[in-house]
Amino acid sequence: MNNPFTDFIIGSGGIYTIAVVLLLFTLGGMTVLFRRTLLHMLMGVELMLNAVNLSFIYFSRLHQNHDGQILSLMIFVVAACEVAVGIAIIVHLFKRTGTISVETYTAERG
Amino acid sequence: MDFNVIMYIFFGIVSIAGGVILVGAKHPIRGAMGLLTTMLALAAMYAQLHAHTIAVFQVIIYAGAVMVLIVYFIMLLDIKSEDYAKPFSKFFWFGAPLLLFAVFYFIFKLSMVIKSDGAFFATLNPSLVSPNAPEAFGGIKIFSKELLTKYLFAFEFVSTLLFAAIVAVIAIVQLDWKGKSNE
Amino acid sequence: MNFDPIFLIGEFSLVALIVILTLVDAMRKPVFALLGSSAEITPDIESRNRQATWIAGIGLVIVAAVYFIFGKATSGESVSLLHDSLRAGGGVYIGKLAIIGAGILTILLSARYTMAQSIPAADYYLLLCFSLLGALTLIAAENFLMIFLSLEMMSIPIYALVGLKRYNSRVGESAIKYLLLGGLSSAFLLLGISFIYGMTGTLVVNDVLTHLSQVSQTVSSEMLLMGLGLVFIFVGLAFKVSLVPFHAWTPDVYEGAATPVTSFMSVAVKLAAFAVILKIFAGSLLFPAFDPLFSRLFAFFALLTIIYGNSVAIVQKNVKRMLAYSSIAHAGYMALALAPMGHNIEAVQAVLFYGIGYIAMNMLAFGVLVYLTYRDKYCETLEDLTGIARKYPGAAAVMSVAMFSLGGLPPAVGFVGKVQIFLQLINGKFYATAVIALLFSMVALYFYINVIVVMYMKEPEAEVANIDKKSMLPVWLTLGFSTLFILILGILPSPLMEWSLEWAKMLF
Repeated sequence: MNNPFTDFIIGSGGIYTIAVVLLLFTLGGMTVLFRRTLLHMLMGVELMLNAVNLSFIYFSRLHQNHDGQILSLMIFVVAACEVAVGIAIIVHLFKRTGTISVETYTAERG
Repeated sequence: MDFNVIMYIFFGIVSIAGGVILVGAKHPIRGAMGLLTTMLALAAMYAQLHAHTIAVFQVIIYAGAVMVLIVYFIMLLDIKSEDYAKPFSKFFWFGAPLLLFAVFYFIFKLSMVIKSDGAFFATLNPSLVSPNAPEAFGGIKIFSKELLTKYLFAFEFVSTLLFAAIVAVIAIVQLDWKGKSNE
Repeated sequence: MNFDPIFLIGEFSLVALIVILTLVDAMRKPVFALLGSSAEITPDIESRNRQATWIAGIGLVIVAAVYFIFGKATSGESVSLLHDSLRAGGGVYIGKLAIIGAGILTILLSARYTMAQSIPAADYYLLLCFSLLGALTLIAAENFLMIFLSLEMMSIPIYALVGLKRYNSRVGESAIKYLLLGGLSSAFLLLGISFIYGMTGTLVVNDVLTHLSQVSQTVSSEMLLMGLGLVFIFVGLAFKVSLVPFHAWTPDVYEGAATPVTSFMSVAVKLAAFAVILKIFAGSLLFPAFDPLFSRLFAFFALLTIIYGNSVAIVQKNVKRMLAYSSIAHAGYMALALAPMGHNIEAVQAVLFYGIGYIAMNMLAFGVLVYLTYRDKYCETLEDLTGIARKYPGAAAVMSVAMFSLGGLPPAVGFVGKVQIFLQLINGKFYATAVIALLFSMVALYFYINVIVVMYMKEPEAEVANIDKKSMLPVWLTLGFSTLFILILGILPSPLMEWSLEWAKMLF
């Protein structure tokens, strides 16, 4: 017999999990689009990747194959790479301009 | 209601709260703490979803290494306070409600459709789902076996990607060493 | 598991080149020891850069030769390798050769760039090789995991390459802009993949497509989530090929990056990303539930892209920025061929033909800009080009060829490509779309011809500055090769059509 948690997972937990995923994803997207400090925006990308991870792991549990879990492990590595490169560029910019606010960088041309 | 179900819902709410803190916090360090909360809550949810290995990696790699790196650099850069005077861009006040409205509308629509289908989407495809996961599912043994056989190429590829990231960081850092005199 | 390494000979030799380049650079004195103190060590950097350039250039030519000779054996049938990680052999052979060719042309252009800017060349070429490796595996990727990883492998080195420029204080900004928007786009791609995975339970592209073709047309939660997943995948890839409205990064990044890097981004990255779009959305499997949706999506975004790219390009004073907008518009033309969505092989062939031809034309246009480098300063604006025809007739002539081809005038390869794409639209009965696209390619003629007019007809205000004479030969090689490619295949397009047909069969 199924335990109650399994019933929840394959039942109404699905819509709950997808709601959590989409909300976290949107919050992360809002951080990238609407915040003004670069480090904050970088964290927004991390939040979006975390949301995606939850989705992968939930579906991996449903289908009971490890594809989703392995993909989320790869996302960890890629996120670490992106953070490393991003922070290197941010430090480089900070040394040149003394600020990490995007305002100073958006002197738009044409 | 089952205790596990309650905890699952609780951790979902905690993770969203962490996300809200990240968006709303004035100082990046508060935002980082919000993100850390989200990560730990998600790790708990992973463990409940039978992804024990990933849950451990989430705590060690993400909440540990990556967040420590970010927090370290937030403190290292020690940014002036005028950078935080206006934390949001001018699009925030109409963009954010619009996005949230779109998401809630989609979730509402999805739940309506699920209700009218009479079945939740997990049961739409019954051949794929056997409800109870075996004990070993998501454990380190079976996980690493899959990783090192079926996904061996991806594994090697991702190690090359790490090397590429190292080279990228070194290349950027080298610009600073001499860059100043040329400007 | 039967695995024959001959199928991955291109990737393996490229990795070998990367290892050799790393080891050779590591043998020398550490770079920071050189860069730390004063100016008298500059010659040492120059010799280092020259060595790295030689190794990278010759090494990549050897990689291409090895792949050309040994890979030929695999071009007959295609197999899926390593538990459906990669597809190799068959028409992928053509695609990989095209991408490696773009890499060689980029390295030839970069020789001059690394000399003029005295940046650490070994790192620069390493990053280029990594990005090339990503592009190679991307067009061969057979499951979504490899698509994602290759896309990152292709993009992450380019984030850094965009930042590798000395005489400009704005480059870090375009690098971080590209990185953040790239991260956003890969998050979108991943969310799409996760929904698709959730609905089908597999990551292998072909299995997923089989599932998709069986989805019923009634509204169900399965269809809703799958549709959302496909749209998100499309959005994530549209960022990489810079369709409007996902183009926000393109002009700044293309302008901010070094010219050779810009040319690599605009051709190789775009072609590889288009190959993935074709594989997912245009393959032989119909997905009846989603075809109308994606037909409209492609037509809408492609038209928007063409209209926006061409009309903004008109007002640009900066040639590089103009070429950036023109590259946005060209992505629009390529996406346009997908709008009929008939899942016919000719549409795929038209896009690939255009993509391969676009490598040569854009390399040529950017190559001329690299050729006309003045000391410490790249030729980037229209004023820099004014009246150069007298002093540098060769450069002006090949620039004219490039502009003809980009504008879609005969006898250049761009003309044949545009004709094929419009034929596809007419076959699919998209008459209004075809007329609007045609009108805007007329508009585009204005700014392409304008460059030629400026070069030949206008008198320069001051005397044309002397260009830097360092390492001219590689640039001339690029220019000559691209010009030959454009003109010969513009007059006799059938070989390229056959190649692209072969590649198209693979994605089918």
